Amino acid sequence: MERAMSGRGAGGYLLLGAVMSILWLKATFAGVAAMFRAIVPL
Amino acid sequence: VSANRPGSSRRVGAAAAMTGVAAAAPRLATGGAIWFLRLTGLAFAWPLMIRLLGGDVVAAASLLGTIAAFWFAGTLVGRGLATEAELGRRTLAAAPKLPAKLTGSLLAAAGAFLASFGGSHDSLLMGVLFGGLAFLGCRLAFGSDPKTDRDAIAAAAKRAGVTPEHVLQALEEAHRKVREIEVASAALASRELRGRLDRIVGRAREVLTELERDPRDLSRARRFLVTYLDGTRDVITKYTQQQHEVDEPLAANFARVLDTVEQVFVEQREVLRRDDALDLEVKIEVLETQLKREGVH
Repeated sequence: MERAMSGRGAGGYLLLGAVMSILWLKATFAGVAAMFRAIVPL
Repeated sequence: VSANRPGSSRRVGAAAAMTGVAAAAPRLATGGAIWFLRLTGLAFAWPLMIRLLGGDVVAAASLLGTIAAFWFAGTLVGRGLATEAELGRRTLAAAPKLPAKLTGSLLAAAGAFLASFGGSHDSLLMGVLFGGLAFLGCRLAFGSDPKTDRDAIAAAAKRAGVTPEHVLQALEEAHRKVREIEVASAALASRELRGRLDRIVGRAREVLTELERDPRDLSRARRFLVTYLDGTRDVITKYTQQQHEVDEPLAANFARVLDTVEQVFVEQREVLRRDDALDLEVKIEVLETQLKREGVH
């Protein structure tokens, strides 16, 4: 609890949250783009 | 006497203070960490579905790996935080062999790597970079695993004239018995009895704190460790099995036994503090007779 409230602990959660958010967006958009390419061949 | 004893540390007595809200805080933090990681992983179910619809099996399998890795990372980090909270209450204890938080952080890093390298078809370098950042985030958020203070254990064992293994084993066994009492008492239907058992468990931990402070007392507290912790656990287990069909007199007897148990535990702690064994022997005889009379021991 002390750790979660401390600057380092909160920073860790933020960093992990940011990294995983970027990965989620990348994976989602890469998937949508791949699907789009399959439907509409350019 | 106790203040002058070698080996007393500032952590001594922490167990007594860890009740109510203070005891709930680490559990909340542990639950928060577990579900933060698990939900982070589960969020990848959406891109996984898109990849499945798109027919990209490799990306889908990687994202499934991410979800699984984060799920188990949550379990491991939760276990590590729970161990840390438990060891924080104790003066002498061996840390578990598996560094749970480190293993959990590595799993989360592997999950991030899979999401990047397999799930988004990033380059290997990019995948490693995301994995590294996730690992760093985990280490900052959850910290490192507790380490065994071998010097303190060796010094305490030397004072007590026994091997460090003996001290650790005796204390570990006693803590396990107290946890068993805690688990057994959770099944009690009466809130009042559960409250009493909470107090008794607290008292038992205070006795163990005294023993950790000076393991020389281990031999003097043998009866407490061997007979009373087991006796208390058995009496509670038996009572919870038949608590719905017990009659008034048996319930009253049980309440009386708990009274005596609490009293004996308090006196054991006092005896260890005072280094005076005489009084307790008499009390213990009384409790033994009482336990026998109630047909529990």
